[in-house]
Amino acid sequence: MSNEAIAHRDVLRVDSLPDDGKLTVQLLRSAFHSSWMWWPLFLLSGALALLFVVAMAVTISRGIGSWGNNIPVGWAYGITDFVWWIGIGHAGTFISAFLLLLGQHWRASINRLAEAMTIFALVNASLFPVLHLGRPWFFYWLVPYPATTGVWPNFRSSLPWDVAAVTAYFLVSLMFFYLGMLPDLASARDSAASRTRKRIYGVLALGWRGRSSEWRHFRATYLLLGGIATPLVISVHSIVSLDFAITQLPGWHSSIFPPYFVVGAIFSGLALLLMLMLPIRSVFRLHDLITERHLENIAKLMLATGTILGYSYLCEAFGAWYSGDQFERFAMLVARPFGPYGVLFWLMTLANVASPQLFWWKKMRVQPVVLWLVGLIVFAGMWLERFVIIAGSLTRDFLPSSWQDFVPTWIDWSLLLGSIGLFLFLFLAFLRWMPFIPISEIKRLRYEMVQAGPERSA
Amino acid sequence: MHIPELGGASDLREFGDEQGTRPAGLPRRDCVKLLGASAALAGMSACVRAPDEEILPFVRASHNLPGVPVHYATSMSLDGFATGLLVESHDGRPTKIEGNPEHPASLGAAGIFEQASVLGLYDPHRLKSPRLASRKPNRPWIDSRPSSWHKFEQAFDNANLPRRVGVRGEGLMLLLEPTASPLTAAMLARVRERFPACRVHFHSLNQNAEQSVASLTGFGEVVLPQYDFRAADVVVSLGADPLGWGPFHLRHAHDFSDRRRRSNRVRLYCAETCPSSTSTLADDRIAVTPSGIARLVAGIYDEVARRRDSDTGKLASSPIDDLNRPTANDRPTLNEREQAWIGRISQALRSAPQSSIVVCDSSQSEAVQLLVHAINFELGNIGSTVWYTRSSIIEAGSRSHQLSSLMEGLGSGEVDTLIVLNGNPAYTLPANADFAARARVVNSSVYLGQFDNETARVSTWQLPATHFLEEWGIECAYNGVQSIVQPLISPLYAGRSVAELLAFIAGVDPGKETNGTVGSAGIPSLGQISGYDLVRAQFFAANSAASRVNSEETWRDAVRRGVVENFSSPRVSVTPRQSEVLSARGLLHRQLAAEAGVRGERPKAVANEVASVELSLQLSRTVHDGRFADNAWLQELPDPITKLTWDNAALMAPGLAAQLRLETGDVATVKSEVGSVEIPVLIVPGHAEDSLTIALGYGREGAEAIARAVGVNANALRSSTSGMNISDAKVSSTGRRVELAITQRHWLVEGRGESILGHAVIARGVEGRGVESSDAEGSGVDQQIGDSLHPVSTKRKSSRRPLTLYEPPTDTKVGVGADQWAMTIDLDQCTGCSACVVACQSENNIPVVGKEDVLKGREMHWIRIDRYLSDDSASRIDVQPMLCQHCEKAPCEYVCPVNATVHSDDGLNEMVYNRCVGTRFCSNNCPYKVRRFNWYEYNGDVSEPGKMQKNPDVTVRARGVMEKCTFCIQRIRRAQREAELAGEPYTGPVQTACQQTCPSQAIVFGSLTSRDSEVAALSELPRAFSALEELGTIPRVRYLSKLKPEEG
Repeated sequence: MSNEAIAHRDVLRVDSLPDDGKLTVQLLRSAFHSSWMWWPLFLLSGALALLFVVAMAVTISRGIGSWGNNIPVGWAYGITDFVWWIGIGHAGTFISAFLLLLGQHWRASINRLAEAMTIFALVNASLFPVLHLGRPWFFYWLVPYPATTGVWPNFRSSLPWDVAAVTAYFLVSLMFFYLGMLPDLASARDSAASRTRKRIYGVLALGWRGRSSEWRHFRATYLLLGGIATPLVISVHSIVSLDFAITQLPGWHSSIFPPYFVVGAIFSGLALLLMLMLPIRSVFRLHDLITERHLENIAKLMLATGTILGYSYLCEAFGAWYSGDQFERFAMLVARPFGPYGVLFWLMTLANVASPQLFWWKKMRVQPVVLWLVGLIVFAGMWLERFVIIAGSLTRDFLPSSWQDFVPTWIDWSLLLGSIGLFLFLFLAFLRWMPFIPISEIKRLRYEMVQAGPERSA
Repeated sequence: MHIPELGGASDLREFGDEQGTRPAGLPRRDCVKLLGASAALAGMSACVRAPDEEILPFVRASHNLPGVPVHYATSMSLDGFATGLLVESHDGRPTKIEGNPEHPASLGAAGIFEQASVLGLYDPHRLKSPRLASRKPNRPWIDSRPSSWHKFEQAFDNANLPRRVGVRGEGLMLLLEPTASPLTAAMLARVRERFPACRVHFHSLNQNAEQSVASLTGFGEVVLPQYDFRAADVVVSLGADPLGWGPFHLRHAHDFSDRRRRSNRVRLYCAETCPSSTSTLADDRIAVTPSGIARLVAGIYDEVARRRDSDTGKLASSPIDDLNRPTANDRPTLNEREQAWIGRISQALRSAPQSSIVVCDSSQSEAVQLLVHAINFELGNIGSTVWYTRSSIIEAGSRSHQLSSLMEGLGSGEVDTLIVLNGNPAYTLPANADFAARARVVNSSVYLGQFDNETARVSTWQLPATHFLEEWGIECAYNGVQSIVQPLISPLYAGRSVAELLAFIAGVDPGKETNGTVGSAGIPSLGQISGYDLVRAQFFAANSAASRVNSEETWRDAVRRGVVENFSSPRVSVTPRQSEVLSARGLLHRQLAAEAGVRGERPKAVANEVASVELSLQLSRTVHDGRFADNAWLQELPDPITKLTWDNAALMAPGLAAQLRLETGDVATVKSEVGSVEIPVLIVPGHAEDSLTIALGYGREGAEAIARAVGVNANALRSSTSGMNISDAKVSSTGRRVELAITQRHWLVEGRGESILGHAVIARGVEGRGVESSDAEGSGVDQQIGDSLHPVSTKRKSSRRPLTLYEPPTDTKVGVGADQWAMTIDLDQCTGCSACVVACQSENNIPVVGKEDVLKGREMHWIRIDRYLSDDSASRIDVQPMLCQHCEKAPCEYVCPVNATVHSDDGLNEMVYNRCVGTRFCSNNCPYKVRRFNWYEYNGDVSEPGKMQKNPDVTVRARGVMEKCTFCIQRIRRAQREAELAGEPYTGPVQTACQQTCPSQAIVFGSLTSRDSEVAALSELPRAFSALEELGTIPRVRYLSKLKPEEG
């Protein structure tokens, strides 16, 4: 108990927190009252989401030709956006499930935010693979079902596995997210003023009464789902990385892709988490709940993952050189750093490898402005990384005759910006109507810490 | 009714007595049969538009089955000469054009223009009815409104024509394209019978007047040089493109590659301003300006003549010695590079006595042309590899072919009625000729053409002309062989042929005359004139004149085979007049010296960012003189060298571009004495410095929606006196930029030559490296064949199958199981002419995507011609047809998530369109990037008539699916099906569309398992290799590497 308590010490500022009842009311406040800055943001993101819808409509009605893709660049923004969003979706489950299993209690204050981020990122991520199909209305042919044609998906390809992995990940994440929210939804039901709200939260709370048997089952199920979700964090992006690794395209054809992609995914997710968490902490004055300890831990994680990523970049280049293969060498040592997208490569290296190195200094780790900026840089840098790998490699492949650059169209840009808009739209809606801090977990954590308190002082 | 009855009653019926009888009237089954039949027949009659007269298929068939294509022979004339063709017709719709194996200009091959003309037939922008101009003085163009042939005849009032143009026809001017058609000649003679004084002129951009004049001066008559590339060991091309351009280029390519296949010592030398198809096969090429070519010709002539003198020892007897012994003073100022090249050429020419060919650019001056004749003469080639025939072009070399006399006639004000028959003089005449203004002055002008083009818009009457697939005619090939043009379809848009209109103007109907009604009918109306009758009359008259058998059978035979038996121009034995040669040499030297003087005075460097350069205008390699500018296949066909589509550009060397600080896509101003144009620059490594090449045929302004505003009209730079080579043009930058739709932007092979092109170490002409190591010198052709087919590679020995743990997916042992399809492509023979690209496009319903999408890299060609340079100097240009390699271990197959691309038992990589969801994963993993994606509904906007071109045997692909070369699976399956129906084992051969049309026969296709398979033998040759062999994809397409040029 004592070790755990010490570990908890700076996770919450126990002394400045109000009592349980007041804490509940305070944390549910946001769900019942809107802030003046919410509407403009909500409308702005809604407008961007609308742009997303328009771009999707154009894509589906006119064809993939409305994108900038070509032969050789069969995949560009669409798949870049997909891999990027799905990577972002990794941080949520990593924080909530991975750290749950590892007994990292500091996760309690931020896991709901991270999980919500995961769900909304996955919504975006799952749209792109369907959108990028030439005939999206037949996307279900990638799913193994007993079709009358007798034709099954090709299990040697990574794409049917992609579908399976992303679907599984989405479902488990959704369950995990929703299950964790049940006690808080019940609190919202109980404290809601209007009948309508009571009804809605009541339905969502699935009749949670807070009985001890319910809590017992809840804890067991939550841990179990965490156990299921954790390997998925590893598997999903590994499988996504196989979309590239199983090919023989120089720049894709690499066996380090699975770990490299998983690390990159967590890295990018943490970056977005920082970008979301810091303004929320400041707007809702959650400094007692989201402490410097949280900031520091995330910064340390980013430093670790960013450095591993840098190592992966080096490995890729070294592997290409060491292979002696002229195509690999050209792709990794000439085309990528000095080719048409060379600038993007160096920007990406700067963003993903250099910028997190700031976090060697504690001052930087707890400085919200620095953290937010690094988050933004990494957020963009990780998109660049995917673009450089995916489209960049395709532009310079084996036969110089087929070399061709990629130029995005307004549809490409609209889909990228629009997906960010949709994400924010959903996230703002979540902030407005859902308990975004896991109230029950905070209360439990505080209780544990208070219990440990006298022991510590003794 | 009791139950026992059920068992016992024998007359038990379902219905009662009265219902049991058959209903009266039409029975149900018969009714359904009739319904089905009438529905089917209604559809058929709607499609078939067969001509009224009897046409005869190439291969005799007892009956025509619906759905089974039939081939008919016909021919297409371009630049005056015919190429024999076989046209595939599906239920009355011509869908594809192939070469006629019996025709000497084709030998089974067809060029890009011939093949693409089937699309031109269905062009929705063709003139659909006669139109009458409604003059509005303030408009630059004359508006026109639809009219009819009847109204035209009324207005033209043929019977009263002499009243308007004079009884002798002084006021009548006919403007035709140069042609060798005996039918046109006969009809012209008829017109002259009626109007002896009428003016007849011939004009086209590709008139080669210099050639005719040179031969008139040098030989005293207009002759055409004929070349036998099968007998040539050394070919020197001076600015010409004998294997890729011209009326007989298919034949030349065929013969040249035939020779190369047999002997590994055939060498090809090219001097040219801009790299051409021919030079991709060159062992040694030099880039020189057009005047440099003249210098080289003069230099080679001097070398050859001097050598002849020293060889024969006749030192003082030859007039050369007296008058023109080359001295240091009057020799053209050749630089070191040119001097060395001439040295190598001379050595090569010396090594091949009487078996070399020297050809030169037909747009060079008369003096140069004459010297080339003389060079061939001095080398002893005349009579062996080069001979002459009388020119079959009507009135070749006469005043009627001269631009000046045409301009004079038009400007004289004496012309009342101008009749333009095909061509587009308003566009193709030089800018300062101002045809439009002159044509407006005449009282009445009639234009017979296929399009509402520039000429149509300055004419009073626009009459729709027939496409050659809609008309009867007789054409003549370059060597004089005549062929019958038979229509495949009745005119789609009420067109009439040139011969018909000429007969109408002549006022006689020769078709009727043969039937014994001479002149009795008076002036016939157009409706009475039938091209069929004209052709038959001409055919029988010519037969009688040549005292040949004149029977219906000979006619049917000529129509069926497309070639008139025993009809070719005889050889004429001529030698160049020595005095004319010498004066030509003197003239050329003086010209060159003068030019060198001018050049010396002119600041060599670029001053004020304006460069003074030589300008070489040439006809577009893809849209010719603009006549094919409305043909989307040809607009989107990449130029063989620059890979430019949908545009023309000022081609220049990297050095000049660097001096002017221009990049590809920068717009430059090019000025000549008479005009200037703004045109984008395209940097071509291997182009001659200090010169520009610009293609004509672009910048069209007619009503043809596709042609309009594509490229820049460079005719503005020509004057009526300058030829195609303009010695002084100024070029400077405008500072603007445009995007050029280039399908291959990268020139260098990036050191991957060995992997991609199999850059072999086998050299040409190295003796004693045959398998048997016997000396090839004395052992004749057979040894030479063995020598070239089995040269020992000193470095590369690639077996067809790399070392692998896995079993082959299919059994390729001879005689086992299914056929195993494979292809070889000989890079030592491919000129990159792109005939295969068009063949594939028409066979496989490949859509065009337009300039916008080519700019984005979305062209759909299933076979493309890759072009590579080994280094910046462009001393060696490689071309490589690239198509689906049908890999045994296809990288595309394992990544497709829905099994839409799979392998067949006979070794084909199959594409299942209706299973494809369009992930494009297959394309990403294809190392050859030969897969094409339907980014949009490209087939959605095919015009109604355009749909008739589609091959019904090939799926028209929808949006969102991948497609790629299928090895013409529809042909394979048809052959197998037919064999199965006939109850015989399938033996082949099957030809793919690309293979069938390849003039060089560089492509060989067949089954690896069938005995005596050529493809199996070729793919085991030491110089056979797979592109990107190290990837282990085991392609079924094997390339045969180009031989390395001879050392030294």
